[in-house]
Amino acid sequence: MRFFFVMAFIPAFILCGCAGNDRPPVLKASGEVTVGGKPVDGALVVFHPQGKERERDVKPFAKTDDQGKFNLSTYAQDDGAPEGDYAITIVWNKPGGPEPKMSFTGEGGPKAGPDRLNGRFGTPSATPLKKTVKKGDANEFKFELK
Amino acid sequence: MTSMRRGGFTLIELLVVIAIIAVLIGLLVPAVQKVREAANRMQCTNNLKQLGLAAMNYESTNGHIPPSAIFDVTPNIAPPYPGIAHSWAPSLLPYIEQDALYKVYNMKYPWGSSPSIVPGTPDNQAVLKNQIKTFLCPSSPGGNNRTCSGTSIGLPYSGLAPTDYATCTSINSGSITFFGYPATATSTTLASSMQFQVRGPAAVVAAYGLTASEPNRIASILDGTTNTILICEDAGRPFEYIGRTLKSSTSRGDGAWGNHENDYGLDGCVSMNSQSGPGNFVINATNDNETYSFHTGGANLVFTDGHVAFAKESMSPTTYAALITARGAGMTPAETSPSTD
Repeated sequence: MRFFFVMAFIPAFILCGCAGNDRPPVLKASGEVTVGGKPVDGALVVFHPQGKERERDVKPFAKTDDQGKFNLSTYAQDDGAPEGDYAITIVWNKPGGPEPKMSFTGEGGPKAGPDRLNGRFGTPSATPLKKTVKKGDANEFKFELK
Repeated sequence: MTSMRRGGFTLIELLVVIAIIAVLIGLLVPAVQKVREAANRMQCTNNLKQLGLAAMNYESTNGHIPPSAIFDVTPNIAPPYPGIAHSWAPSLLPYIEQDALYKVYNMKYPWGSSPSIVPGTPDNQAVLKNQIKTFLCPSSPGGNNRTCSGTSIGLPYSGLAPTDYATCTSINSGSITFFGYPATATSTTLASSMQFQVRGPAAVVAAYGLTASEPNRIASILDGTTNTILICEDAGRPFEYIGRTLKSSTSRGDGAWGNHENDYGLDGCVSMNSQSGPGNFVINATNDNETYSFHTGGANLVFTDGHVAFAKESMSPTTYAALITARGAGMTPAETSPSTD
């Protein structure tokens, strides 16, 4: 009978080797983008991690809905953002118009058109928008652009 | 009582032995599969090395890196077709010991050219039906039995052989700021080492929604040839996968080696089981216009200097983007000394 107990432990030991994941935990984070008081539909909001160790990390990002609202995604849809300081870029591209007659990538669909914010908030190193994602905070970010 | 017992096994003993054997097999089978996968991965690395060397040889002969696709609409160039279009693959054929195929492929007609579409024109589609080992990763399910069908620039095609390798030509316009580049950058400034060659009168080219462009020279790879990816894996086509799940078995007909649309732009995916971009998952999330392989944990890449590296799925998306661009120097922090490690 002792054999069986020993046998039962073998798979348990094998399974022990499969744990582990070095992703930092994410916190729920959401927000809203308005331009001149009006909600912005379909803008790409990207949170660029700040600091020497974090500059190549994954980036929380979102697309705003027709109310201008967004939930940040990092590792899965709407999961949130890791804690830390961020510089935020917002671009609001016009739809790219009809699909070109000749495509080189087979991706189809209209490509993004020009930015309706003229790239004013589109450069990570120069954007005036800075926010911090903190544990215990509501992590709701309002961007009222002009 | 014991003296009465004859040599034999009790049920318990038998079960114990069977259980031990089951455990041993359970340990052995994955080990065997791992060895097979390792051999496949090595073969794949070797294929990419061959393609890298082929591109270098092409460069020595022609003075430029092979274009990811050619599109020429100079008037009267391939009547009655609207112009010529080729993928990167036919121009590499002479350098991977497929000279015989190269000689029958007519570079003066589009890849979709076939006498069954326009009588009297060369049968380029017949050439593209040939399976070429160097274009196939042995880890891809379906092996030699995969064929690609569809319609491109108005020409129907079917039964074409796939490629598991393709070039990631740029960062798509909707994802530029996601990868940390300024909104003023474009898919053209962020182009990779293999880029499109578009020729013809400006007005005709513009009517196709394009601008004229020439292939890169070595000197125009400002990030350095060691830091710029030449060809990636985009395996499994014409099957379409999301994560490891098969979504369709026909939808990615653009995976034919001769199809000028077999390359793609970088977007990334929201998660490993998603196709929507942009996102932090740039490798192995989907083979629908992203880098994808069947190797565990990553994909093989060949760089413009000819070295092959294995890029992990967990690699930083901005570093990956930096390795794609040929002229991104200084635009993002990751552009300084990007590496697959």
